[in-house]
Amino acid sequence: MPVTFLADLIQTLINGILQGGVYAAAAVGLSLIFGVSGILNAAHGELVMLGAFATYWLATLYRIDPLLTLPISFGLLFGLGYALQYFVLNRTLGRPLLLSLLVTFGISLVLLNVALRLWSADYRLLRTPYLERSFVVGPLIVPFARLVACVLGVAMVAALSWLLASTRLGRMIRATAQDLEMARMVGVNPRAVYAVTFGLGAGVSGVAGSLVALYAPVEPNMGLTYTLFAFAVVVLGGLGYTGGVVWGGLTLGVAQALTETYLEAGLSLLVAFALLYLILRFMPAGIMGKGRLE
Amino acid sequence: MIRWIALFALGVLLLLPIGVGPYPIRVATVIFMWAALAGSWNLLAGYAGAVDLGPVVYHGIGAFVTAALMLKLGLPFLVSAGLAGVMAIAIAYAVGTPTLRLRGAYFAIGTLALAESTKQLALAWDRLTRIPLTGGSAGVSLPLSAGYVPFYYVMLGLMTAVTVAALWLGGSKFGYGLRAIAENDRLAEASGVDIHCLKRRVYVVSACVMAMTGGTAGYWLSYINAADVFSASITFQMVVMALLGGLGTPFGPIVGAAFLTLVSEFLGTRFVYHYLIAIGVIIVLVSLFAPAGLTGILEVVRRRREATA
Amino acid sequence: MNLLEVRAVTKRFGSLTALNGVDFALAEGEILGIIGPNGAGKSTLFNVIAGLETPTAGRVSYRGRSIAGMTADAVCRLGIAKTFQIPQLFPRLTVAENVLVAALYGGGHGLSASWREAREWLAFVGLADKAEKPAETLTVSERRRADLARVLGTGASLILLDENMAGLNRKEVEAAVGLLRDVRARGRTLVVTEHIMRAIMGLADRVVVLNYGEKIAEGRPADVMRDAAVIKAYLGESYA
Repeated sequence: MPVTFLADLIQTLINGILQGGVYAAAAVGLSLIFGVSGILNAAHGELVMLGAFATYWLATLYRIDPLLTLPISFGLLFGLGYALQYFVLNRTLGRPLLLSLLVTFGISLVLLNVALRLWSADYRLLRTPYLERSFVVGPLIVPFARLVACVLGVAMVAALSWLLASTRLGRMIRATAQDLEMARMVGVNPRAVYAVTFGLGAGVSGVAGSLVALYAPVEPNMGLTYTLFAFAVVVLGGLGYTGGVVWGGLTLGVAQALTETYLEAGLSLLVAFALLYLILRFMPAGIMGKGRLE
Repeated sequence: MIRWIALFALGVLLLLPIGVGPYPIRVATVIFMWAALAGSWNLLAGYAGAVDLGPVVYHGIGAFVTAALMLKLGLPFLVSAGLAGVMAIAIAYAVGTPTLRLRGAYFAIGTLALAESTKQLALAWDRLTRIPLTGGSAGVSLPLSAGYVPFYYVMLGLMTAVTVAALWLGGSKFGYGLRAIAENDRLAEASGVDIHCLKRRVYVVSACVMAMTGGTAGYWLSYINAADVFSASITFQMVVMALLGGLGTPFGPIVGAAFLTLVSEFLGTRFVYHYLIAIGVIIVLVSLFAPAGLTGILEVVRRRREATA
Repeated sequence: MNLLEVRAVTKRFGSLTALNGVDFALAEGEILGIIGPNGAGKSTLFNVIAGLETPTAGRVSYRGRSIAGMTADAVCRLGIAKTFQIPQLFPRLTVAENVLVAALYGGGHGLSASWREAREWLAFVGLADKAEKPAETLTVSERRRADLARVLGTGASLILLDENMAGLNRKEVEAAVGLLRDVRARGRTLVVTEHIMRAIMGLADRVVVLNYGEKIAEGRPADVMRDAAVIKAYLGESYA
């Protein structure tokens, strides 16, 4: 008896961690954008969704290997994000939060309904034979597709962190985030920086969507759920603290996995949102305490 | 001046069902419903500056409580809806007390999280608690209602109540307190305004109206379903209508509700996606270039006319 | 009974100790000056007295009652109000409405009484002509006067002025000092912090000197200015 309990528990934790890695990747874009431009992107989930569809269609129509579609997905979403910030969202800077929330919400409506118009609300599942294996270790099962998605997701978060910490572009972004006036004075062009930042945020969100497409069905309405999950991950990890998304993602993933195993599957969303609410109320600086407080 | 026009319009609306057929009355009822919902949201967001992204939670609670009281206890509709409003007040007070301590983005996300949690809870309720209340994903059917005119008057009443409340806020002590909170809440607090208490009062009143509206709408449709009555799309439409009409104005929500309802009626069900895409574009444009909404534009036009007169 | 008692107040922000065991009392109708080099903790002290920050240790008592655990708005209604170093306002409300809010909620008056109060205080600080303009159109020095009007509108008996005269020229400082003497004549108690020594000298009955969060001197203005510790804090060892 105790052995199966232990096996179940470890399997649950594995499931949670695998999902958590993807959640972290799906949230880091939101965190970056909020941390730098103060914009709470209500269209975040739609960017994830578009990335997922990009991979689906590229792999299905042009028979490109799904893993090779990742950079293309990044590129497409980067372009979209850059354009959105440059032409639309730059006008919301310095104005109240509600404004950027509403504008990004409007954008999300447009993106969602264009997607629905083009692709309908049908679920589509990408079949990739070489990803459909699983590693079996004793009683534990690790699906290959999920493992790849998690590893690549975490790798992407790490790459983004490295970019922010060690490259010239990263320094410009961080400088603009910390002190706009000073950054201007040393020659940084904030409009371009914000646009690049949104592009990066959109790009990584798109890749996260592509990773989801590797193992799960995709459908235009999936965006809202990912927006909410991303909010949860970002708040759990600490608003504005990009590194925290890993902690947030893992916490959310494990909490959901535990709910699915020991309570019931239908409650996993409830647990996610209840957790989000509790953290907001009692630990607004996130689990690691490094988040920005209002 | 505006008040006399409004009073006159109200008189016309009260008499409308006498001379007008069922279709326009139904459309008018829909407009009143959205005006009541958008108007309630406008009280907290437009006057006090607190953006609640989960107001639909009280809409759903109102729907289910009304249905339960009518089906299980056999209470008449108006009594049930009224009691649903009272229950919403109690719940909103309990929920609002911790939640309203959140500010800005945190409040927005927190309320959204609350609404989504409640939706999930409602979907799973019957299964979990073995108390048949929400019907899970199948929903609950209500007895068929007699006619459409009573709903017209109930919704008209709710819309009027909300508008009167907003008008009263215009020059009253409470109204100034709210606007101070919206402009600079820390300064308001330092000047003696109990920001938490004032916000909570508005939150609770909003919740009550939304619950009664939800209960009425449920009975009118004779069917409620957790996924629908707790749907985030209801919040979105409320927000858009209030914004489009003019945030923080008493008649803005009515203008916004009328405009969007008529547009969607006109486009029918064939162009749902186009309608929503257009709404998305409108939201972006209005937010960026005309944040005072349609009534704001009307104000500018009116002032220009007065200046040149 | 003293109007205000600050007993052994300590305030730490993480590892930074902003205030350490600050201790003084204030009688009704006094004007107390608080001076000290930049970073000495003057603004933090004000925030603690006004209930905007909670002290890590120590107690603040107003008319014998501790204000511990009271929210900022409750402290304001009790009778303590503070101006802001960077003047705060309700940007899109008119200047009159800015003071109105204070009179309505801080002072607890009805609507018509509050309108009267608001206009009266605006006239007192010399902003009557700006009453109907949106507050965001005011210049910086006008904002300081509006802030003062707002604080007066709350009806507070204890008024804390946080560098309210910063950036004023000689004539304006004299006018401000006269205004504050007038305020005291109307029965209010003032705590003033300034870098303009002339203003403090002319205004304060007593002065408390802070340095690195600690009180290093207290007494009449002329005495304090000759105190060795004070001179050392401002000008360095060699001048002491």
